[in-house]
Amino acid sequence: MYTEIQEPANRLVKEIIPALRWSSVISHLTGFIVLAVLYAVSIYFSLGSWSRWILLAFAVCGVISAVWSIGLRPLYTYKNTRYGVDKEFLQLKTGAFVEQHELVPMTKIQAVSTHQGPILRKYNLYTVAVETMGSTHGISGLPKQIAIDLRNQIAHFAKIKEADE
Amino acid sequence: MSFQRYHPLTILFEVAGFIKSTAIFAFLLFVVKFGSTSVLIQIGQWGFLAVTALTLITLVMKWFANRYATDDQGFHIKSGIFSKIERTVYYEKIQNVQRQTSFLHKLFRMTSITFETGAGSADASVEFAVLTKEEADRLEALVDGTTAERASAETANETVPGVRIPDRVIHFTPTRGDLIKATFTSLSFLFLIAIAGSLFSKLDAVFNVEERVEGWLLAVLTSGWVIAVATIVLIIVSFAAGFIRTFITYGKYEIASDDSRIYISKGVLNESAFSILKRRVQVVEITQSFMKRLLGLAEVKLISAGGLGEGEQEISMLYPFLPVNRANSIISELLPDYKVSSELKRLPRKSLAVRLVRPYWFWLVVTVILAFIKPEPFGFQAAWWTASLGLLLVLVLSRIADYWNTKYAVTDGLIQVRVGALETTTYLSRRDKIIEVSVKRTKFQQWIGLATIGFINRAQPVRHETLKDVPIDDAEQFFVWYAKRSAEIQVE
Repeated sequence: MYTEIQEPANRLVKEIIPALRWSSVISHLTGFIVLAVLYAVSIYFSLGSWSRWILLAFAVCGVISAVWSIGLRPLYTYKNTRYGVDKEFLQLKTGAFVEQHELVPMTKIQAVSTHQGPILRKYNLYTVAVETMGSTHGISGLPKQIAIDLRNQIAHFAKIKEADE
Repeated sequence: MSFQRYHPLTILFEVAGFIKSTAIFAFLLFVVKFGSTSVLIQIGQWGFLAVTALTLITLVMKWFANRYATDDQGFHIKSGIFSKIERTVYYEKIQNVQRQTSFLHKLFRMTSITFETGAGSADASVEFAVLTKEEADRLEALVDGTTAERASAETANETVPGVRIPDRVIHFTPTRGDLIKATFTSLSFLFLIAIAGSLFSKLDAVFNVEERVEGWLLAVLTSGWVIAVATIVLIIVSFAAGFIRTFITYGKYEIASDDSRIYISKGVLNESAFSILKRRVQVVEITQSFMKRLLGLAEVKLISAGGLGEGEQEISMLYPFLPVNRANSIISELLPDYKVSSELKRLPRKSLAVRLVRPYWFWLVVTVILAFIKPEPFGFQAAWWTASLGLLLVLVLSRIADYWNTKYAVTDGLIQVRVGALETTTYLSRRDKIIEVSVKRTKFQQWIGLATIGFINRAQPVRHETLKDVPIDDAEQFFVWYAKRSAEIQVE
């Protein structure tokens, strides 16, 4: 991909792996609790056995999804995410199975912000969200100082606006 | 800055609108059910009168409350009866201008004008529902910034006459032949009848179908003369009706331009005019339906970031029945930076292979459903799997057609992509108007050396275009091509 353009080189930090794992654990636990409640409801009101089959099917899907997003995806996300910023472009490279490269001109960036949820706070990580006229891009899992520096850097470069907007 | 009220006729137009939308209701309540003793009807009647009175009062109050002013920067608008809103819209943010003159407007020698900004909210446009043509001209000139120029020209040189008409060039007005062709495309169903008819007569000659078709079908098919005469009359009548309809909509079409703007006006009874700054055009889109491809016609649309109101989509369109060559040349005439390239590249053969082996989800779902239901129309037992096979065949053919029609070109400052199976769409955008690009590769595409490219343009809503299964080298070139935009953009 990168014969003539500088390949984005910055990586996420390793702490992103447990952070992503915990957030998947929580979301899947919530899902399973909901399924369990529905199962209990189904038994209590003695609904047809079809309802429990559907719930079981959901549970199987949930287990597969849990293996993927708790066990594997955090590793892939950590290994395959790269970002790069220069005064003209924000570059992003993500995805292991579906590799995606994105090139966003600084002049088209409308807003940039940092976020931190409870799980990210535990690991002292931040998400930098970049909004353009057409989409939103998030770089999740940067240490505090790097995230804030990145935010300020993008904000500085994005100040320049193209004529005509 | 002095605020002024909208034209007093605004009230009358709003009343007319109210009458139009409630006429049927009123007719039911006061004519059909007049003198009814039913309590429900009486409540309805009194309620209707109350609503009418209230509406009239609000309309008048609104007219007193709403005001606007203009200065050299933008529009200032005050609105609201109880909660007051003040809004400022700067001229430089206005993307395009639209003028509509309905029949009612014409009666009073009025018009309406809407200025559209790129904002996404409901407040995206500044609308003047009723105003004189002179006032509309004045406002439009303000937005153009031409008044400022004119004023300075006048002070510099006293002999310059008051109004300077910009050098407009008319690029296209439809001829009668164009209108007849246009009528044909909207009567495509008749073509289908004709084609089916000729096919049937050929089939008949080979297999002697008539002997096998039984019952009512036979009766209809064999009463030859009656059917023939009825069909011809039907064709003539619907063609005449279609021509009149086409004439009313597209008869007085005019595409014109000057140095900075493009003007499109249309309509015989209800006139509408649309103007857009050339540099505000984000994407040029050329669409050809199957029918138009047969007739060699194309529809060209200029897409801007301006908010599209109801029905406005059609006005931002150049004449929808342009001959293909004329369409291409008119684009270059109107927008010198855009050139429709004829040297387009087709995707490599392996893209076709990849596209053909991609899962047919739609077919799978339909087949599973069919296999469960196993419908037997007219006692035809094998119906479900023949239907499934037929669907698969159609899907395969449409993928092949799509591959065949897909072409692209990435030239100096332009990208041109054409896609579509039966109906083809060509996108043409300048590099500096593209706001973001991406290159995506699934594992499968990585093995074979293909990629999916994507680009985003400003529009309302934002346009995401993708082109699947491009050779990886070209995808890489596309990325590099986009990175070179920084050389040509102008920063403030």
